[in-house]
This record gives sequence, structure tokens and C-alpha cells, in this order.
Amino acid sequence: MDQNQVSVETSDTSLRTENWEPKIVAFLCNWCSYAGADLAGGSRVKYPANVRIIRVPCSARIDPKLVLKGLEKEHVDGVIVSGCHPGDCHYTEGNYYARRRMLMFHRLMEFIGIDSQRIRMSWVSASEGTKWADVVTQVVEDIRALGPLHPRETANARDH
Amino acid sequence: MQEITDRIREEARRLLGEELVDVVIGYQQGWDETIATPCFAVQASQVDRLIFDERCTYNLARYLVGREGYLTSRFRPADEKPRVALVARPAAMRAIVGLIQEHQFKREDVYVLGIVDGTPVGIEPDVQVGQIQEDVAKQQEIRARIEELEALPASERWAWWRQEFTKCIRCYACRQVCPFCYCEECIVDENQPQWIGSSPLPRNNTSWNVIRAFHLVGRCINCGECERVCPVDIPLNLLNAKMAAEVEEVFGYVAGMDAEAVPALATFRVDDTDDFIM
Amino acid sequence: MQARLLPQGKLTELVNALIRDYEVIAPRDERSFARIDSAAEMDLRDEKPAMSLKEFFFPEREVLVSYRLGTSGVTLTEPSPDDAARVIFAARPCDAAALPILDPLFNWDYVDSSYVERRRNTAIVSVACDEPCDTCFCVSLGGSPAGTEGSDLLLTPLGSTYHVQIITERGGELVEQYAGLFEDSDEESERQRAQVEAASRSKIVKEVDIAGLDKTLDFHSPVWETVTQQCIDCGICTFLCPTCHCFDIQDEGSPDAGERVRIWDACTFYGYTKAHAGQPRPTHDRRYRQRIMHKFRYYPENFDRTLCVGCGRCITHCPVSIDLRQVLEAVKE
Repeated sequence: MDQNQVSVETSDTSLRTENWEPKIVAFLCNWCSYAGADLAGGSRVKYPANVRIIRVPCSARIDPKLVLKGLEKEHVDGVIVSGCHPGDCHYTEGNYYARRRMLMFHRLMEFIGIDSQRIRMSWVSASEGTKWADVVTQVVEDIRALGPLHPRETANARDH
Repeated sequence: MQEITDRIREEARRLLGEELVDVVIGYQQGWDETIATPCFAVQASQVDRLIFDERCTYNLARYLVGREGYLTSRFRPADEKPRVALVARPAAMRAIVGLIQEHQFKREDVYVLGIVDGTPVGIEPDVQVGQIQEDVAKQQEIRARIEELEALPASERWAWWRQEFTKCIRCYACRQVCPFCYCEECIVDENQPQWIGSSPLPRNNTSWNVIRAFHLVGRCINCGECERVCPVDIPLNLLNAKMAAEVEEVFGYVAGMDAEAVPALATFRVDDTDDFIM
Repeated sequence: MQARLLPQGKLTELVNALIRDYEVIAPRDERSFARIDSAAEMDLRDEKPAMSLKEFFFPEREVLVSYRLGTSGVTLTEPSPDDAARVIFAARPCDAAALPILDPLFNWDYVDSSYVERRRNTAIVSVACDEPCDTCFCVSLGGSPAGTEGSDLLLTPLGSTYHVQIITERGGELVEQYAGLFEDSDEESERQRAQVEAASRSKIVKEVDIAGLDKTLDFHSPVWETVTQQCIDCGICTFLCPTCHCFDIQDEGSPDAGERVRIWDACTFYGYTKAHAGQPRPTHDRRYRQRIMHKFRYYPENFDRTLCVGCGRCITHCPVSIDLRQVLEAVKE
């Protein structure tokens, strides 16, 4: 491999390699969504293993810099941001701010030409383990259809 | 235009002569007759440097804020804040409105020598020193270019923006000239962790320009300075104008119109749309 | 070596011939020089590109070393040497003159081998300016719109033909390589060349006298505070300057694999020289002073050359139209 080559981003689906699996980074709010994901695990609900979870105190913590940083990573194809349902935020209002922010971020991504289907938001409560599993399943399928965001390196790259 | 110049000088002479302000920030002759440059007059004897005409387009509000801003400087005790008069075009006045909304200073901290053009502005100048024509053609051109881009399929749009961002040399002139980029530690300079790579790779440049555009959503007053100063001609203001239109459409908010209002992304409604949320 | 002439019509042929044998870099648009694949891509407008030639010797991003963590430990790989043979065509005399000014720096206490390699492998064919801009002041720095320093060949437009001055051995070899395209020069052409240069020089509207500045520029002058007020602390003057060379070194990647890179930096940025112990230049008057002192006093102290070629890009592209010539006049007092 040419050491001088730097990864180039593209949404070209022809870059799909045979054993490509979508990789999603998910930012989950501690009080609702993370607990919900935990419940899914504890209940042994089956859902795709393509997601990597990062816990944040509240969906309002999400600055687009986190989402962009996630997408910049060479192996990441999509991002999920998940918080408490409106009215149920542990900090009362955080998810309302997050909602406005993420909507505007979607619009900006669309204008740039990056498919906003790669950046998803969901409301998942602490008791909604199955919903979390459904969200991940859906997003993984949507992104599988979109293809990789970055070209993949050869299969022996350490992947975690 | 000469009357505006005369009026500005008259006001400045009075303000400085009677020691009502410490500095008048305006424009002066640049290195030739087609160029102006910012002027910082501190004595009545310097007032004749001040000019105003078509070449005086810079948004001077940026000198009020930031680490070394006249009204927010870290290097001066808060009770020694200078009293500032500012020659303000409509965009600068809208910037002042936004900065007041964001608690950077109070309305009474700046004496506005305002130039109006018929477009709405959220403050009254302390003295109206002149009137100019609104640049209608420019606004139309921006709208047309946005529509052109929106008509393209997403992959072509991305390819186009990608090519533009590849040109970026990370000089940060867009940031430095913007009245709303007053953060003392810009996100791009944070390196623990490094949110945005500093090197001018296309992916780093994309992150930088996208983040800057995002951090201006609901704040930018579309003075167009960022696009004017970019040495490699990236059409930065298209991003800001587009997002301003989105904010108006979705939240009914326009920046620079009301110094009492809370900026769109600093507030919410319980019934904001959930359409895009799973 | 005897000067030559290149008929106007043969210019394209020469450039395309060079492209067959070398990597050719030429002005592509008002923004920058770039590698071209055909003479048709060349843009020979009067205004020089915003970016200078320094990126071809001192790139804006340069990998110093890459690392990869494998099962048996860390592998470090140095980048492959950049030894392509290049010709920069239609360089400006001011940009070419910047390179001999930078050479002693990149060959100083640390020898920058990739800079040296690129200098060795790159020939520079300059075209004299017959329409200097309002902001050009190369003559104040000992240069000229038809200056030869740093170039291997200098082409001066004479209407239907170009006068070709052979400045170095490498220039001579290039001319020999494409000898069929050139004609011998004559007295009349020599005379015309001198005339074009004189006419160009006279078009420079504003000069500045920097004689003695390398000894007299005063760090303690109170003028620094007032003369720097307009500066907004961006990096345009630094990045566009053919002689500025400050840089930062960063690591990019993940714990598994990545690169250590050198990138351009600017002493005008607040973050520059910010150290754990503090920031010695917290206000922009100090940073701007540093920039001017470095160019006009410290660099001459170290290397006997002024770190400026008078290209005027800093004046043309400054967002608030600060004029370096005016600043120098003000601090001289």
C-alpha cells in the first residue's frame, strides 16, 4: 500500500468491497437511550452488531463537531444521535435544543450533498429496548443501501 | 457620498472634541483611491481621515468583540472599557444587534453612526449619518446561485462543494473577519481532542467549513465578508445565506432584527417538528 | 551564454514539449500555480496568482513519517523521495527571487532534505512582468519586473517574440534540449528587452526605501501599537507570501495508523508561540511587530537577506487593505 496515499471520501457505491459491513457510531443520552440500549442487551434482543455506542449525558451535548468527527473516521459510514422523548429529558429541555440543532445540521448536510440518511436522530426511552434494536436495524439497512462513505483499506487493517 | 463623509466627520469631531467617546472606528483612505481601510480616530485632529464612499464595505463590528475587541478585551479591566463610536453600514448594525443578543456588550456601549439603506435593522442608530442604495442585485444573485445548486443531484452537489473545499488553505480569514467568530479558543484550534484536523486535506477542510457554517446558523447576518476575503474564492456566503433561509422558513427567525429576541438555536418550541426523527 | 529568442507562436509548442519530458507547473488561474497537462491550461494573465511558488518546495502539508501498529509492533515509514524532474513555467521574477532567499534557511542548522531535493530537481522559467500591479514593489527589495535571481531562464515579452535570457547552466541545457524552437537574439532585441524592463520599472507606482532598516527597525517604537490596529490576525499575508515559512507539526490519524505532518502556520495567529508557560505575544500589535521585525531585521541579521521580495500579495489580499509599504514608512520614523 502506498504510504503516501491518504484516504479519500466518496459516497460511490462502487467502492463496496465484498465483505464490507456498514459501521455506525451512535451517541446515546445516558438517561434514556443508553439505558434503552442496555435493556436491549440485557433482554438478549438480536440486532446488528454494526453500531458502536458512545454515551453522552444528554442529546443536547451533541455538537455537530462530534458527528463530523465520527464521519471523518475512515471506517465510519453513519451516525445516530438518540435522546429522550420530548418532555422526558432528564435535564428538562436538552432534547428540544438538540432537535433544532440536528434539523439544521441535516439541512446543511443536504445542501453540501451529503446524504442526511447517514445522520439519524431517534427518541428512545429507557424502556424501549426493542425500539433501539429496530432503529439500529433500520439504519444499518439504509446505510448498506447507500454504500461506504470512505473507500476501505485491505482486510488486514486492525478494525475496532 | 460626500455628505455622508462630512456628516461622519462632524459627528466624530463633536464626539472626540467633547470627550464623549475614546475612539471613532470608521474608514480612511487606503493605498490608492479605489481602496479604503479601517480608521481608528482617537483625537479630534484625526477626524479628517474619516471617509465614506462605495469602497467602504468592511464590516467594522468585528473590532468590537473577541479577545482583543474594543468592548470585550481580555487585556483591559472591565471598568476601563473604551467608549466606542462606530461607523456602521446596515450589515454592521445587524451584527451589533446579534452581538447584543449574545450578551457581548450592551446597546449603550456603542455609539452607532449609522448608514441605512431601507432594509430592516434591529437597532436605531444614535445618529443617522447617511443613506445608501440597497444592493438588490447581490441578494438576487445569491438566491439564484443557491437555487442552481439545489437543482443538482446530491452527488454532484457534494462533488462541487468538495472541489471548493479542496481549495481551502486554512488561512482563517473568513473566521477573523466575521463579527460572530469571537470565541477566544476556536474549535479548530482545540487539539485535546483534535476535532478538526489542521492540515489542509479535503476532509479536514470540509469539516472546518461545515462547522463554521453550522456555528453561524441563526446568527449570521449575511454581510458577505467571509466570501469577500477568501483568497481562493470559495463561495462561503452561499452556505450562510442558505442556512439563514432555512432558519427563517422553519423557525420564523431572522438574525439582526430584534435585540431582545433569543437566537433561534438558543431556544425551542415544544411543538418543533419531529418529522426527521425515528 | 548567448541569449535567444522564442517566437510568440512557439510558446505553446515549447510548453507542450516540456510536458512530455517533465512535470510542468504553470499559473492555472488567478488563485494558484498548478501542474498542467497541456499548454492550454496555462493562464498568462497580468495579475499574478494569489498563491506563490513556495508550495512546490515547502508544501502546505508534508508527511514527515507514517506509522502503523501491526501485530509485531510499530512500523515507521518515511515518505518516498519527491525526485520528479520539474519545470516551473511562467514563474514571476519575484517568486523566483524568493527561493535563493529561503535556501540558507532550509540548509541551516537542520537540512530539509525534501526542500533541497525539490530545489535540485526543479528548473524555473520565468516570464518578465510588463504590467506590474499597483501593489508590486519588487524594485524596493533589489528586484525587478525582469529580475533574474532564482530563475534558470527569463523570458521577456517583446510583442511578436520573447527574449530568452539564459541565466544558469541548467537554463542553457533546457534551451539546447529544445534548440529547434529558439532563434538567436540580436542587438535590436537586446535593446528592446532593456526598454521593456525600464518601462515596467517605471510603472511601479509606490516604492519604499528600506535602506538601513535591518539596523534601525526599532522593537520599542510606540508606532507599532497604532500602525497595527487594523490587522485582524488571519494568515493571508503569511500564507500567500513567497518567503514566509513558519510551520507546525501535528500528528493525524488514530492509535493504529497515521502520519506526522508538517503544515503551514502563521506568526499572526494567536495560537502561534502559545506555550504551556503562556503566550509572549498575546496582542496582535506584538505579533504584527514580530512579523515585520523578522522579515526586515532578524532574517537579515542571520542570513544577510531581507525576507521579502516586494511581490505585494500581502497588500492586494489583506482583508482590510493594510499596506506594508505604509507600515514600513511609519515605523521608520
